[in-house]
Amino acid sequence: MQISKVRIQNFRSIHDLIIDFAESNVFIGTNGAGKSAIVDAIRIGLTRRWGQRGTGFTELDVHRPDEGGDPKTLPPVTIEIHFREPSAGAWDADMVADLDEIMTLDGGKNLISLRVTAPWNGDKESYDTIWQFLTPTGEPLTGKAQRATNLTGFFKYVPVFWLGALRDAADEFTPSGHWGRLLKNVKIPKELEAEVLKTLAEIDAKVIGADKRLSDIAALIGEATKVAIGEGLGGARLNMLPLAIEEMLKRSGVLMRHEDLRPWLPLDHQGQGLQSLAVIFLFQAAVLQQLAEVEEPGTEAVFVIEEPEVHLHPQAARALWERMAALAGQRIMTTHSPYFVQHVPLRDLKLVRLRGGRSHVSCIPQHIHSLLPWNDNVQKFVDGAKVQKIFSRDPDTGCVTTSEWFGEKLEDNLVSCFKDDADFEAKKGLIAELRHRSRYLPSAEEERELGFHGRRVRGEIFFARRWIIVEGVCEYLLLQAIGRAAGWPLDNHGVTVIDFQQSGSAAVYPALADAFNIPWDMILDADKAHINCRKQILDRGYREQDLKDRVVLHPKDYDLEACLVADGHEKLLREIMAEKGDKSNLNCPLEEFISRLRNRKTDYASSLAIKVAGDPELAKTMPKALVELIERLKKEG
Amino acid sequence: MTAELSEAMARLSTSQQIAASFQEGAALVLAGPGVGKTTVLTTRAARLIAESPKRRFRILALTFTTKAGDEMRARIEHLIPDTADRITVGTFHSFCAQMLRQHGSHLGIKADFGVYDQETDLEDLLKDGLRAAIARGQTVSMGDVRWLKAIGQLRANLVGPAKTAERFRDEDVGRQVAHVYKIYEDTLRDRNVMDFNGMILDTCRLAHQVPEVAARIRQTYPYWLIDEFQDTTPAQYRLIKFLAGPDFKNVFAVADDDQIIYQWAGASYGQIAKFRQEFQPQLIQLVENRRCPPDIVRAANSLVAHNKDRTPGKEALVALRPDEGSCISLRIFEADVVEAEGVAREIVQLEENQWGKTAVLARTRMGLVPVLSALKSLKVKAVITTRRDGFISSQFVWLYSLLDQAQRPSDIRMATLMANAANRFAKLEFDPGFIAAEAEAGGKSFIEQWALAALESDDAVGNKLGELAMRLVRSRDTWKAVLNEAIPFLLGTAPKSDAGISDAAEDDAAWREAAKAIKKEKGGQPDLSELLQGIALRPKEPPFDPDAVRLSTIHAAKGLEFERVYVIGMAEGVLPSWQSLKSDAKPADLEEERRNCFVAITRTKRSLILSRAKTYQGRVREPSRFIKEMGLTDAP
Repeated sequence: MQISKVRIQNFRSIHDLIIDFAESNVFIGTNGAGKSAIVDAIRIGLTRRWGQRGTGFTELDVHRPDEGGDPKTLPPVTIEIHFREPSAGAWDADMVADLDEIMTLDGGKNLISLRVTAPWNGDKESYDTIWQFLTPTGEPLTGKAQRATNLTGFFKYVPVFWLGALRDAADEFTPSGHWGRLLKNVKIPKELEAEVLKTLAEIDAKVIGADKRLSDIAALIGEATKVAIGEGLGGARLNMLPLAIEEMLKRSGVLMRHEDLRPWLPLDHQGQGLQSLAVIFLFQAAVLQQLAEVEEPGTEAVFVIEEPEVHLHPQAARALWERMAALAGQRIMTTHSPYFVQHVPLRDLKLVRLRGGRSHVSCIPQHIHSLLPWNDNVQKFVDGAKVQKIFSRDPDTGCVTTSEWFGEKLEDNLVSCFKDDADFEAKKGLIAELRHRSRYLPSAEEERELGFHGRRVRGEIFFARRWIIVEGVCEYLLLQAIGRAAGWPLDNHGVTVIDFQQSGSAAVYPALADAFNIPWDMILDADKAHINCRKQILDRGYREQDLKDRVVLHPKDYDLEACLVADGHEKLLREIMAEKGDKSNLNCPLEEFISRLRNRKTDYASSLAIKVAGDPELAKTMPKALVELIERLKKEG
Repeated sequence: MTAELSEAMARLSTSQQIAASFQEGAALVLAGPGVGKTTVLTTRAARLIAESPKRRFRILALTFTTKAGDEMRARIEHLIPDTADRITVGTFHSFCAQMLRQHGSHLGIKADFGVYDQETDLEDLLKDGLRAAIARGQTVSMGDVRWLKAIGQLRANLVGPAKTAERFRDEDVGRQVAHVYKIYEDTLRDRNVMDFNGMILDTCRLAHQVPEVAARIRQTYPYWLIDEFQDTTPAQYRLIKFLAGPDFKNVFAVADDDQIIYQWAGASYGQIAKFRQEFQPQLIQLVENRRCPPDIVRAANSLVAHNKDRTPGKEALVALRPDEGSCISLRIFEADVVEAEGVAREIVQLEENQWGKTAVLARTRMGLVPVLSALKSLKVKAVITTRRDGFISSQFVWLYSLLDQAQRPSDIRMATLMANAANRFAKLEFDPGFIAAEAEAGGKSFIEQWALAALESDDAVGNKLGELAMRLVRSRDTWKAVLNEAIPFLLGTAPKSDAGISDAAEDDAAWREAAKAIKKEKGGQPDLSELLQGIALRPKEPPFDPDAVRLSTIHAAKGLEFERVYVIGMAEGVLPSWQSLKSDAKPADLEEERRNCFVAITRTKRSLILSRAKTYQGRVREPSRFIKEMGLTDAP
């Protein structure tokens, strides 16, 4: 059983947040955006210890809409965690029987809804923590569903394994940490134990016997037993090696080395990165062993891992994703690392942002649902064409859902499936609307392309507050330079420039930006290619009004180079190109020169950018589309 | 398998063993009186659990009364301790209530609904509904409350408002009843309450509209055990069929077609026949009677052989007890009054320690009243066992409705009940309607408004009640403390009756008994809603004095056994009843009377005394035909 939905209200920076969960969930966002609040809410909801022995909610946990407000009278912290069966009959029958009292049915599928509330208790002068299982309509279940033992029985099926961001190998590799839990279950055969202890005793005797002074010390200390009153003869002996297997196991530690040629060193002599990594692997080992002991079928672990990438270098952070993805169970992670994010499937990403003092989460939905009834024609169409993946029937509503964007041609196909309907025009409208709403669902192919081309940008763009989408690297360099010249460096203001020619198709970025609620602008060349770009975006389902004021073209039919020349920078550009070593650039025909510029974009643009960055006056004369955009953003703050 | 279970299995007779070892499929276990059917049910349930220690599925055991359920639960717990989680034992109603609380949201039913078990409550509810409907301009009148009984009948037959009209020959009447019925049902929903018939009806609706609920029940409970199957009503049988669907067969029904005595409540041989037809059960007969002396077994067999509504091939009871000769006697008296006195005089002769092992059984409660007064005048401890559906003292009505109000403040009927009850035993004169209006105007709950008024009253009892209620208003968590303090206080306010025991004390004993059973059913301390729901579903009579002679109707004696049994009124027109002898009576009615006699005599462990008077209420009555049918002669 896995978490399907979480609703958090009035908790820290969260006012009211509903988050759909998948098997794998990676919360990304800046510091203080609310990632930890989400993760803590889940841990609290699914862990019995909360509210016991000095833990529990405090005034600081209550969301305050403004600086005033008394956390005792404000609406209480409320956390709802829902587990909905993905398809009827998917859950283990014994588990369903075991949890019968707390399990309801919703749309033919089993459902467990748990609510944790923390109202202020004036008599006790503290917050109560109240767990309740709910009906599908959100009322508390009564009767047997209210027994306190239900919680324990339930938690057993969704054990939460939490690994916080602060990982200290010195804490974890101790008898009380994960290490100790792991060792507790180690079983040594009796015969081996006897043999080991015997050998140890022999070695012990040998070592002590090696220097007579040691046995003398023992004899002297043994005198103590004669002073103390006891029955029979006492004595003292020295012991250097462990006397019992448990003791030996407790002493066990980990030695590591980076490479064959490096010496073996204890863990605490290693760098922070390796220590952190070792803790993650230890965590995994401990969890796997714990889960192996679980008897109840249907048990699925929930892994809550905060910032797995801490202290790791980029490649290691990237490689870590695969490790995490291999954990069997539901995974909930938070991260700051663009490197870690690079390999995470787009639909697993959940972007957390703070807006107006409240946390918001945005992500790409798995499906877009419609009110369009699935009919035989649709079935035939889907069976015949290779679009099974795009259109499917929502088992709950019997309506068409999409999992990818679709173009005009498929729209026409879908429309023709309803040609005999009496309300054909209405259906047509629904389909147009579905296409528009589906525009930000990336296709599998796009995912692959982004993984390949877009890796460079993929990680960091999700940490940006705003995107400027441009064709190539020249615009990229010049926009950065213009920003700096205007005293408004883009990085400092969370603006990321994406050059889509290097990183995928033109249309996918506006779609991603909209999916994640990231404002965006686009600057296109006015040559013939832009028509193609625009077409791509429109075919994806965008409408003209969506693009208004967001997609800006260079004037006439200019591309950037033509535009720079037209703006009077021919002389400057010829000098820059000449400096690169070919004097003929100073006086070759203009057509020829522009063509050379186009072939050596990075060369001229990097030099021009340096000049622009240092010369605000020059910056103002750069192509209007670029300058005006930066000015607008600066004004908007 | 536990030692207790192995021992229990070893003690079973051959036929019991076959039944207890029955695994998959439908089974009809015909179990005569005294053959140990509860033992079969409990060992089979325990065995199914014990043999699947790694599995989590559950057993569903449905019983006819909460008492039978409590006993079955205790016996299973004894056989396999700490497995209560895997067995749900309950009545049809309690199981339906559980399903409706859990899944009722699909029908707009809230999880915390209350249960109205009093006819008067339902009548008031319908009146309120009609009043509101009239105010809305609907074409109903207050006189339409007369349809309440008809609505009850429709509900008992699983007919909803939509199908009501077609049930009436007169279309206009049908439409009107349907309209009133709709108002009744809407008012139930508005008040968040349920009536008994509605629990079965709504569970059927639920199984019908949300088939996944039935599928879940089949998956979670792969084995169903039904006790006293012969007493199931057609509605209960249809519920079973609904839940089972076309393919589920694991229904293990224990029945005795010779003990159907609830025909008037819908029980009939037809249900057994239907079950045989629709589930094709394997037939297992339990005939080895361990209770009755052979003399009585002979009489019982001989008597019931005169019935036709029996499962074909039904075997006669076989006595296992050693034959000690005759143990049936017959007394003949001149008149009913003399009969009562005669029986009483005979009982007073017994050792005092035999009183608790003696029962006097009669066809009707009325027949018992003279025996009770005759026994009382001879200073013999005796009680008439009756079923009470509600508390009889104002004190406990107040307590229950107060706690219920704290839980479900929207139920104005409970609020009224609470205020009126307090008016009766405290010197208060609060108008519930006025308090409700004041509460609404001030944005307070009814209890708070009432408590404030009670605190300000001049009456000390009223003040205390107000204080208790106020504590509950401030924090519902205080309910246990409030309850513990309230009960002794309430008992102190109750006047003692002639018998020396106050109504409140009887209610107190019933409350304790119910609370104990609820705790046991849950396997831990119940919370407030569980306690209230449990009490609503349980009878409210106090536990019996174990040293008193039990005076009981045959119906109430079903399932019980006594050393010495008196069956009085063995006369035509009494047993069999005069209704069954009327010219327009059906043969089935007489057969039911015969089964009543059969049930009565088979309660006996040692000796059976039959008695008859020559006249009842001044009318000459012939000896009961059953005397002859038992193979006895009508002579003392």
